[in-house]
Amino acid sequence: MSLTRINLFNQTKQKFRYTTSLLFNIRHLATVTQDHNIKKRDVFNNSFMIDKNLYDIAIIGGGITGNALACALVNSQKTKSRRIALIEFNNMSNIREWKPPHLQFSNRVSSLTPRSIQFFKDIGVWENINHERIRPYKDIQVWDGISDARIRFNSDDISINKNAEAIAWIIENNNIQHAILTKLAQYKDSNIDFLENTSVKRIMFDDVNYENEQFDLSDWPSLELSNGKVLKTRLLIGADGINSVVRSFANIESLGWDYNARAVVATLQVEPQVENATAWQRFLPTGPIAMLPLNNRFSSMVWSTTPTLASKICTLPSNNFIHLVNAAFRLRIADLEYLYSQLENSDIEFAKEFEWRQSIEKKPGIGNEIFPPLVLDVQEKSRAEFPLKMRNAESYVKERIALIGDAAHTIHPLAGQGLNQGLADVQSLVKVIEHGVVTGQDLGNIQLLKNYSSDRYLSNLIMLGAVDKLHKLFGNDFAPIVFMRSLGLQVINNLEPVKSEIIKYAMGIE
Amino acid sequence: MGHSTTLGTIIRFNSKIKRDIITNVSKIYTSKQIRNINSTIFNLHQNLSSTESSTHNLSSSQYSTINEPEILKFSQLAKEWWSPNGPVKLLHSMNPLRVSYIRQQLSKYNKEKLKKGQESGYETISAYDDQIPFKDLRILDIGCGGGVLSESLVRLGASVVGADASLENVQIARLHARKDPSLYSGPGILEYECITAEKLLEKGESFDIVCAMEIIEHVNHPVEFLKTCAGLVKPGGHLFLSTISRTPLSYILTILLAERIFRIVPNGTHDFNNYLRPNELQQIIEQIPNNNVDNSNIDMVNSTEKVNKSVYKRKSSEWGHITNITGIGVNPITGKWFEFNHWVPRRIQLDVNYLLTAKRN
Repeated sequence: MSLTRINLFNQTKQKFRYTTSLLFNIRHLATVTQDHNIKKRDVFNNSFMIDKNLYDIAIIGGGITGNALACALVNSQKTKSRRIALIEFNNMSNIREWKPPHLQFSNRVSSLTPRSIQFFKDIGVWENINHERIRPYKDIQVWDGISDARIRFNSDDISINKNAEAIAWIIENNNIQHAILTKLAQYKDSNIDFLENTSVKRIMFDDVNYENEQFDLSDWPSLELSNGKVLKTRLLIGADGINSVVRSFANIESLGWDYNARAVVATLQVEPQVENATAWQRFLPTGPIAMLPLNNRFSSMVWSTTPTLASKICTLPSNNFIHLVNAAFRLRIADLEYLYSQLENSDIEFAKEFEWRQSIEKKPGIGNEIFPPLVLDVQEKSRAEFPLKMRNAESYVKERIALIGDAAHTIHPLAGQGLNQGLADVQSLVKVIEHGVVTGQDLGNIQLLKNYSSDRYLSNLIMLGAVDKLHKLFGNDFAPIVFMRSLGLQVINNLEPVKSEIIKYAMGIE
Repeated sequence: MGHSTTLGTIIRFNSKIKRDIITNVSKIYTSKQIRNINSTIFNLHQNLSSTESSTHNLSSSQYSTINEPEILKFSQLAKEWWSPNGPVKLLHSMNPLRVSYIRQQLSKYNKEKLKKGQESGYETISAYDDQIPFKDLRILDIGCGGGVLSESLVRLGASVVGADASLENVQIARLHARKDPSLYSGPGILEYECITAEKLLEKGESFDIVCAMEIIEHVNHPVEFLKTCAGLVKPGGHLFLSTISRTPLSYILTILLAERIFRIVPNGTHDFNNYLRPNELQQIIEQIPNNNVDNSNIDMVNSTEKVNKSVYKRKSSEWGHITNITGIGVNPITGKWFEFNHWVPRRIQLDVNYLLTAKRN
């Protein structure tokens, strides 16, 4: 009889909030069970979670991956009503109101694969992208700095599905961020709290006694924020980059090494092209230099080299810098090494050096089409350098914790895969969370989260390994190795099926 | 070839679950004692009075002495039971599949109903995307253990009664439920009771859905137990079961290998004679007469069902019929449970673990 009373409660519970009962205090279990009576129960609604700063999902880090995750969760019919907190250290208003100056480009750009683009289309971000400022490329040319052995990938040559009109897109990170934030702002009544300008002071498992409130949330992570608030979350997601505080809180080790190299980035103004739609990469013994198209007059450069050279390249007068970049794509290694040695010599004119060295080197019959466009100028203040690392967390998940993007893994930028891996993490994690919702699971439970790590760990590891091996292989100038790798490049270049598989892998098409 | 390997592991794993279900409180009772308790508890029609006294004694002795150390002990047990690597980890990994199965079966049913334009009490089970598909459904999880299925069903909007004959299990379940406020945020409602199916029937309870998962094989009189469960289902409602089939393969794996040779589970955990083949289970259920429900039960059914009362009376000679039987297995490498692909021969699919749906007329 007593059980049927639940039905009555069920009907009226939305209207009333009962006073707190101690049904779940174990001291009272005895009476409850002995007479099989259903005690008056406290009916909680979401206001309890709001009062207590309780969240289903807290994402630390509002970078592209963190924001994309929030956006995908709000976009999904299955997860949109979860209570989400997104905590970002920086003030995002600049990016929210991003109005890029014409013909100026940020030096922070990414290469997005068709798979990542599709993901952004699926979550409604792509429509908010400034399409004037993105550049698809259909062609990749990679060559060996020592032997000039060359491999060329073209999306037209390769039998892939017709949806992929390009191998990848070059896009400014701010453009992506702006699009995601715009999309997030379009959800009027979403359950997401965007806490920007806020840092996480401490993460802990606290002993706050919820017993009087019926609950035992001691295994939910607590976040102490710089604004004085303390949040508790069912699932904590570390999207906080290579020095992830979430990862260190979870006591997850990060495995890998630092390359003895730094990357210099810059925005270059190049000789106007009919169609600037090729990504160029030359492997020098000191590391690869790449030029990526931004539009017909601008390209972006990533040059990974030794730390000493990197800092010199960064501070070189722009006039010399542009000729050094031209030289790095066109001259022989010996000539280039001479120029390196003259970087601090203010008497030498790099322009002249480059001209005459190139004129001797030029062989008849070889045109300009095998080299990237000549650099005419470098955008002011666009040169910057950063260290290069390879990292993979020993695990991506723990009870109530998951790591995504750079918090989980960091890759050498030579294949333009870092952000794409992070977005693949996001896609996978969203699927796993959706599955958890559909099957009524606690979203923080490790059994559920393991689905995410088993989906992503190996594939990230393979990509990290492949890129690391490439870097090591081409960083060698030992003659037999140079010979073998050059042979390899040429053989692969003539094996369309192999080339096709490589490029599909790089494009994220399984 | 792959199948036999998979199945082998399934059964080994599965037998572990069985053991754990009975003995997740085995720290206190030896397995023999537990078997005794089980038999008393589920053997109702013959020994109603003795069952009552035994359950009663159990509860009163436990509760009258409850104190701080007891709380600690239960917390410890709860922690163990719910640990992802703990003794019932296979039950945890199986749970999402069970929930998906229930959703899938109900939504299929609902779609059919909608197509025919028939009235039903299940319109609320809408699209698969719906976040609370079980809203307004009253579900009994008989043999709820630590509450792994009950909690999931509540999160999906159901009003769940988790019932278990073991007091420890009920306490474990109650303690664990405190870890998630969303179980109390509605619309789902969660109640745990230390009570047997028979007692519930006696009290005149009825449910839209009765789930008896991984329990029939531990009951000494499965026919009686099934009748009781069936009696708890409202007219038009569903009964969900999961168990192991009785086949040479399951004997070799769960009894011979798991218990006798590899000793993965204690000797005597399983009684091969208690396993039921799908066709036997089907026969039992479809032969249940509808007369074990007296009028008092029908009165309790709410108004929606009263509309259908005439339909119910027309078909009242039989309790109902089986609407689906699905074989499941666990991948020994990933530890994930799956439904067998359709191309796997039916006989192999149903050789070990299977899920079953029955619908009451």
